[in-house]
Amino acid sequence: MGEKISQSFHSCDGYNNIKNLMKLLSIVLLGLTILTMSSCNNDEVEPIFKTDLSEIISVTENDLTITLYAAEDFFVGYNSITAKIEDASGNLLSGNVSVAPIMNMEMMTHACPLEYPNGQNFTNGSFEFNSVFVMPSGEMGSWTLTFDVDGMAVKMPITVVQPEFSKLKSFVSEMNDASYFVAFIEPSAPEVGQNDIELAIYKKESMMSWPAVENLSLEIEPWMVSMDHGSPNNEAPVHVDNGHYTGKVNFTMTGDWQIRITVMEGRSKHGEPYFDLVF
Amino acid sequence: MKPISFLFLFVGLVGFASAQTEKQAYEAWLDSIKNEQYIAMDLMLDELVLSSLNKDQSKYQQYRKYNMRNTDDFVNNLLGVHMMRRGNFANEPLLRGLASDRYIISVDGMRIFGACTDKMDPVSSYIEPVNLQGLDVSFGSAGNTSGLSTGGAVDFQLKRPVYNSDKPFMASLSSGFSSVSRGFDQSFDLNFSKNKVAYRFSGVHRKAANYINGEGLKVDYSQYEKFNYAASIHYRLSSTSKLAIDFLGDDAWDVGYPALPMDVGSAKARLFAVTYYMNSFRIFMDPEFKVYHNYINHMMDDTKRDSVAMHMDMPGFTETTGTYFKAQLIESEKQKLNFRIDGFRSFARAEMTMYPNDETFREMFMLTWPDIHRLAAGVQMDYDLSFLPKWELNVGMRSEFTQSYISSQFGEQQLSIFNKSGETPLNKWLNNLSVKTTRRHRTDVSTTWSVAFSERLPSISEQFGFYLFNVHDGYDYLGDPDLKTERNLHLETSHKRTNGSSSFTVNLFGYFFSNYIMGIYDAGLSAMTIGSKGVKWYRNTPSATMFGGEVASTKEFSELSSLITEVNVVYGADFEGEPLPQMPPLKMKLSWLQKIGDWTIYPEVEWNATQKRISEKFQELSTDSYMLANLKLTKVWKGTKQKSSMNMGIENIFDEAYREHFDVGQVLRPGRSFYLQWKIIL
Ligand SMILES: [Cu+2]
Ligand SMILES: [Cu+2]
Repeated sequence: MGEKISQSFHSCDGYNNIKNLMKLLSIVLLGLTILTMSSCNNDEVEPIFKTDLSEIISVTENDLTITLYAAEDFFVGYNSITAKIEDASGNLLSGNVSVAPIMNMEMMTHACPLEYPNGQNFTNGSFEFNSVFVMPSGEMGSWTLTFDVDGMAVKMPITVVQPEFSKLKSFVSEMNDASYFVAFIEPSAPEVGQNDIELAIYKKESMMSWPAVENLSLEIEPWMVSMDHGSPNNEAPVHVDNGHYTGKVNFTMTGDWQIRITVMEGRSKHGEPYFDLVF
Repeated sequence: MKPISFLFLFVGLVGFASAQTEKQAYEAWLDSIKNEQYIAMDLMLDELVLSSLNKDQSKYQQYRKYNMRNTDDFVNNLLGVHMMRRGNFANEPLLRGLASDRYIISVDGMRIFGACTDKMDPVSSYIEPVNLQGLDVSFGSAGNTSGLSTGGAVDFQLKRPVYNSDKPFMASLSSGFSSVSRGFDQSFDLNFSKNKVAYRFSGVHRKAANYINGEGLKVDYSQYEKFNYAASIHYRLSSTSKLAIDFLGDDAWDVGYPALPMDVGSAKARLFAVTYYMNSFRIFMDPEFKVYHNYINHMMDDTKRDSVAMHMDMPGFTETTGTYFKAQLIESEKQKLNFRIDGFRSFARAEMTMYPNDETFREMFMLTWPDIHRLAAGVQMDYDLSFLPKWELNVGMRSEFTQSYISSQFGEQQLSIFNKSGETPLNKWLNNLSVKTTRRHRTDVSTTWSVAFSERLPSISEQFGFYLFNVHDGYDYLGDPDLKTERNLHLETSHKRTNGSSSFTVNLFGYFFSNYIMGIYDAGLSAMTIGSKGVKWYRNTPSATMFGGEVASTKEFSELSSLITEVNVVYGADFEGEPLPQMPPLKMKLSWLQKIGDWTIYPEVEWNATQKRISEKFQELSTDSYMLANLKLTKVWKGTKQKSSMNMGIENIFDEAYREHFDVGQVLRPGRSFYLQWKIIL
C-alpha cells in the first residue's frame, strides 16, 4: 500500500498504477540518458559537482568561467548556491572570492543578505555561498551577481523569481521602525509530524548593509486557517549562529498551514510575520 | 494460584481424562444428532439458546425470543444489558454500564472488530435474529470466552444447518412492519439436508424511514436500510466428524445517525469460517477446530447533511484472521474441564480527508487509525468440580500474549508530534483467573460467590487513535501507545431460588479497577475538530469502582399467568470519586404474561429513575425519570406441517418523550409505535 495515501480502498488504484508506471518509466529513461551522456564524456567527472543540484547559469569573463548550481531557480528567499570556478582551459581553480549581489532599480541599487558558510577561500573550483534575494527580477529592476576572484571580476545577470508561497517576509519593526527580513529555510519539504524549522533573520541597515540579527527571541504557531486550529508541542526556534534560528514545528495533517511567527527582542515585539505552506 | 500450578493441574487432569471410554463419547454424539432432529422445528422459530450469569430459561425469556424483531431489541432485554443509541440502528450494548471498549464481542468464538472510529458499528449490528442460534453474555472479569476483557463478553452463536431426515426441506418466512419509522422487515430461512450434507441459507432485508419521537417530531437522519445474508454447509465426513463452512454477509447503506455529525454511506461486513467438529480425538472430547477470516469496510458520509462545518470522508477498515481449537478434556458427573487455545491477527485502518469550504485551500488528510496491527495467542481453561454434596467449584483461567504495532510511516510521523512511537511491537501478557463456588442449600436454592481478576488491552482507539472526535462529550481524543493494561478485580455473589415455575434471582457485584482507561483533558493541547472543546488523552487513571446488581423474579400465579419483575442498578465512581460517565440509572421493569387460548398477552411497564450522578469530566447532563408502557400480543398456529405466528403490539403506548441517560446526544427515542410481524414455518 503506497504511503501517499488517498483512499486505499477506492478504485483509483488503477489510475495510480498508471501514474506510478509513468514515473518509473521516466526514471529509467533519465537513468539511461545519464549513462549515455557520461559514457560519451570520458573526462574524469568532478566528484563535487555530481550533486542533485541543477545548473542555473554559466558565465565566462576575464578568462574565468563561473557556473552556478542550486536546487531550483533563484527565488526570493534563502538560496544555497554552489559555484564552480574554472579557468579558460577548464581547470578548477583555488583562491579567494567575494560575491556581491546587487539589484539595479530605476532610482537606486541595493544589495541583500549574503553568507559564506565555508569562508571566502576555495579549492578545487568549488565555492559555496548563500544569498537571500529580497525581490524578484522584473520591471522593477534586475539582479547581478558580481564575483571577484583574486582581483578578477565576473559579472553575472541572474533572474530571481517569486515562489508561489513566499519564502521571505519583511516587516517594519514596531520597536525601532527598521525593516527586518525573515527567510524561511526549513522545512523545505514539510511532512505530517515533527519537522525541523530553520529561519534566518536580517535587518536592513542601509541599501548595502543587511546584517544577520542574533539577539531575537521567537515564538511560532503553526495554524490551519481553513479549520482554525494549531498544532501541539512546537519548539520555538532559538538562535544558533549567524542569524539562523532552529526549532521544531509539528503538523497534525496535510493541507494548508500558516506558520505564524512572533519576533521579539527582550520583552518588546518587533513584528509578526507568517509563512504559508501547503503539502 | 500461579499459572504454573495450573499447568500441573492440567497435566494431571489430562492423564485422568484419557481413562474416559470412547464408547461413551460416541453415544453422546449419536444423542446430539438425535437431538438436532428433535429441535429442528423449533430452531426455525428463533428458539434461542440463552445463557448469561443466570442461566435459567424462564418462560418470559422464551416468550421474548418469540417476540424478538431485531438483535438490538433482543439484547436490550437481557438482564444487566442496556443499549446505547446513536440513531435507530446499530445500538451499542452496555454491559452493566460498560461500553464496547471494555468487553469482547465475538461471533461463534471468532474475534471481529468494528471498523468505525465513531463506534457506529458495534459487532451486534452485523448479526440478525434469523441467523442467531444462541447468545452468551458474561459480565466483568468472569467467563471471558474468546479473549480478555474487564467488562465481560458477548458471544453470538450462529445458527447451524439442521440434519433432519424426516423433513429434508424446511423454510421460514417472516415479514414485519413498524409504524413509528414506517419500517419494513423481511426475512427467510431455508434449510436442506440430505444424507451427509445440510445447507442453510438466510436473508434479511430491513428498511426504515426517519422515526417520530415522543414529541411527535420527525428525527431527521434516522433512516436505514440493510441486507444480511448467510450461507452455511455442514458435511458429515464420518459418523464421528463433521466439516462446516459458514459465511455471513451484511450490507447496510444510507444509515442515519441523528446523534452524530455524519451518517453511513455503506457498511459491509463479511465473515468466513471453516470448522471441523469431531466427537472425540484421543483425549479430547467434542474437539472443534476453526479457522476464520472476517473484514468490515465502513464508509461514512456527510454529504446528505444540510449544514456541515466541513465535508469529510472517513473510511474505516478492519480485517481479522484467526483460529482456535477447543475441546473438553474431562466430563464426568463430578468434574468437567474445557480448554481452548486460540490466536488471531487483526488490522485496522481509518482515514480522514477533510474538504475545506473555501476551495482555495487544499484538502487535508490524517490517519485516525494508522494501520494498526494486533496479534494475540491465548490458552484458556475452565474447570468445574462438585466436591462436596452441596458445593461446586468453578475455576477459569486464561493467559494471552499480545502484540500491537502500527505499520504506517505516516502514522509514525503523526506520533512523533508527541514524541511517541508505535512502530516497535508493544508486547503484553494478559492474565485472567476466576474462582467461583456455589453452595446448593437445597436443590432449588443456591448461593454463589466469585472472585475474578482480568485485564485487557487498550482498544485500538485508546492506544493509537489520532484526534478522534467524541460527540458524547465534545472532545478530540488521542490514543496513547504507552498505555498499560486495565485491570479489574471483580467480586460477585448471587442468590437463586426456584419454586416450580417461579424463580427469584439476585446478583450483587463490585468491580475494582486499576489503571482504568479514560479520557483526561489536556489543557496544553488545542482542539482539531471544528466545534471541539479541546483534547483529551486516553490515560490510565489509578482506579475506578463500580457496584450494582440485578434482581429478577418470576411469580407464576397459574399455568396461564405470571408476573415478572426486574430491577437493575449500577453505581460507578472514577479515581477522584466522581461519577463514571454513561452510568444507567435505577431501572425497574414489570411485566405480566397472560395466555388466553392461542394468544399470549404481554403488557410491560418500564421505569427509569432520574440520573443525577453525572460525570462533569464527560460534560454530562442529568437525565429525567421516565416511564414506558408496552403491550405485546402473540398468536401461534400449529398445523401438522406448518406453524405460523403473529406478533403485534404497541411500544411506548403513552408516547413518552424520553432518552436514556447514556444515549449519545440529546436525541429523543421513538414515540408510540404499532408493529405487526408475521412468521410462517414450512
Ligand atoms: Cu486541519
Ligand atoms: Cu462511522
